[in-house]
Amino acid sequence: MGEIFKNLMMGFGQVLNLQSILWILIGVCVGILGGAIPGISPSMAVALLLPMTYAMSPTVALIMLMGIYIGANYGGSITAVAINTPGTPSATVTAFDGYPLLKKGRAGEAMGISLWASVFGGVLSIFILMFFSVPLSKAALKFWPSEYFALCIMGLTTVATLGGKNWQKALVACLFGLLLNTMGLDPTFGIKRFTFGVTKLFDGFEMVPVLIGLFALGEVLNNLEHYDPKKTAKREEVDYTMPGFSYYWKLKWSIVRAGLVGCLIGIFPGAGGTIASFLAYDVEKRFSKHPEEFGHGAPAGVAAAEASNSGSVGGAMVPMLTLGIPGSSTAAVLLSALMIHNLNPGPKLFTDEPELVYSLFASMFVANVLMGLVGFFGAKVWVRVGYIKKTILYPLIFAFAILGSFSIKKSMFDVGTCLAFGIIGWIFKKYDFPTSPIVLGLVLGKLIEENFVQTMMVTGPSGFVTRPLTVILFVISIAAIAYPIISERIKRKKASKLSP
Amino acid sequence: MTALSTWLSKLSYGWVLGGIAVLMIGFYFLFNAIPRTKPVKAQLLCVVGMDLITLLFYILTFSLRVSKMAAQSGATPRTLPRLWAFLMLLASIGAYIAILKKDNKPDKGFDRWVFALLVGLGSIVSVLLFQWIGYYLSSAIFIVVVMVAMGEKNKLQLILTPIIWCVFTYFVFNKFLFISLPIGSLFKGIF
Repeated sequence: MGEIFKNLMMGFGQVLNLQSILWILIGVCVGILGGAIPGISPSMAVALLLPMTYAMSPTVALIMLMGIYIGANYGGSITAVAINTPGTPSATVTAFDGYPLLKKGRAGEAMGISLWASVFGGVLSIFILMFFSVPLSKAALKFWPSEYFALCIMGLTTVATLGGKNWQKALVACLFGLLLNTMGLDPTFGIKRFTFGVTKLFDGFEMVPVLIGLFALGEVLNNLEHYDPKKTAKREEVDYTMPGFSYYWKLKWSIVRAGLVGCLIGIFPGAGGTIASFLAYDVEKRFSKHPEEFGHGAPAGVAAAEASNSGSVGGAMVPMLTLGIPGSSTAAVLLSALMIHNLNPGPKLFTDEPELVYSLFASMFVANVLMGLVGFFGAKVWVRVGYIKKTILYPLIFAFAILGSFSIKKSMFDVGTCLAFGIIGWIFKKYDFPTSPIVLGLVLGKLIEENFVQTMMVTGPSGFVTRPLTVILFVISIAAIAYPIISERIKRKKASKLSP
Repeated sequence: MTALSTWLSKLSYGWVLGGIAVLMIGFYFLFNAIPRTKPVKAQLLCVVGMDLITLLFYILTFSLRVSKMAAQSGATPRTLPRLWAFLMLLASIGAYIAILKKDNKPDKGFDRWVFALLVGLGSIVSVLLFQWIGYYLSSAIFIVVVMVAMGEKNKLQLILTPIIWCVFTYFVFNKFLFISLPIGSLFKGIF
């Protein structure tokens, strides 16, 4: 405990300077801006800004991207309250009670609750992140390659939750990502694979254009297809003055409960903020003395949705930092950011780069504080963001995506990659194939192959079945895949029995 | 199989993509002709496309060089691609069944897809123009064209948006991040 506190102070020492605070502030503002604009997800916001971090030090790059992640998770609630349109999928639950509150003339309350619940939920999750991740990383240091391989396979099982009802499509997408990952030089023997004479494919696909293509261009192309010039958001003149601090005190237990639920759900790879907010909302409704108010403007409903949503950020960072397994699609983009800066995500990160890890923890505290300030003083400005004309927004996102993928290596090939994956993302979105599993496959593929080959070289195939932890992890993986499938079938059977 | 693999590995990716496209067109007509597959043909084609690439990769593994050490260890450069290919083909059977089930949603209709595709193609043209007219002018033209195509009529916004964008990218990328963007052969003499 003392060591964690000492290291955290070191992290604050790294972060509490004008330059770092400025980058975190920029990150938070960009994140809120991105989150508040419907159609820009946190993963898209982080992916779009990723190329800008090339010229930065890894610490500065990561704290800025973390600021975006935190800001975007809150930003989604602004339009959920203001125009009943969640800026991010995880803010859907916020709209359940946020918008009815606005309709009752209590917009300031709704905005205030969503802001401070986000801040406190986020702070709570950082404590859990620190106390979970440090011992977990120490344990993970003792892992053998076979255990790492099994752990990565466990990470892949998140496709079952990422895909939801479309788990079959998610599984195909994930395996396709793994297959694409094998392009380029084989990591152990240096043999060229599936490069078709293209020297730029020797290192496989550059991650940034792929991410920008899948998350940003795919989304914009889809929005462009369904763009209707006649459809514009109606502006409502509403008073957004937030109540004083004492107002939120009565919601303290709702925020703590939801923050904890969000963080714990976030730890499970693939679960993410959306599931966390739905679950926390349900928990809060059960705890409430007035459950009938939920859905009609219950302040506790907004608090639960937002605290859990922000809480999931810290949770998602636990498997990412300690095991190198992304807990959400945004965490997958952050994981790529670590790799781009030549850092190896996983337990060694805590021993090799303690300054970076603890700076990241400290920056999360700072980002939440800054988010509180920016959200409080800029509420009226952020609300207007939801009304940005699509005729300006979409061409700019497109231009930014192209610029981002071009600026990495000044390569036209990367722009082509970005556009190709943009079209893949668009088609996938159109036909309900989730895109996150492709990223998961691309991110984890290399790690899986390296650990597979190492295990085979050291122990042979027996290495996968003789170490108990490896077997346990495989069993968990099978259960993680089987559980949602079986439970869905049971639900369907029950539903078919009930229906006449 | 090795001979086929060696022949395929010598093809450029243009030919490979062309071949896959021809096969996809063939499958499109096939799915369109069968009443059961017609409403979900696009979803099926998505999986078919991935399967064709998987099959191609699988065949190509036969021409990959394997060292003695790799062969002894049992983990060669062929192992993982083959494992993923096998699992992929297995998983896609599940996907085909799920898509063909009666309760599965039929394909969404095409909205303004040509417009979206044209914007995508426009961005390629814009990037190709980088080397002649430079990034700034090229992206400014692209932004204006897309704005007009989307129905924007406000002249002030049509003028200000690309100007602000160019100023923003110049300061952020050129001055702040020291990433110089192409100014194009047309303007090289001037600057």
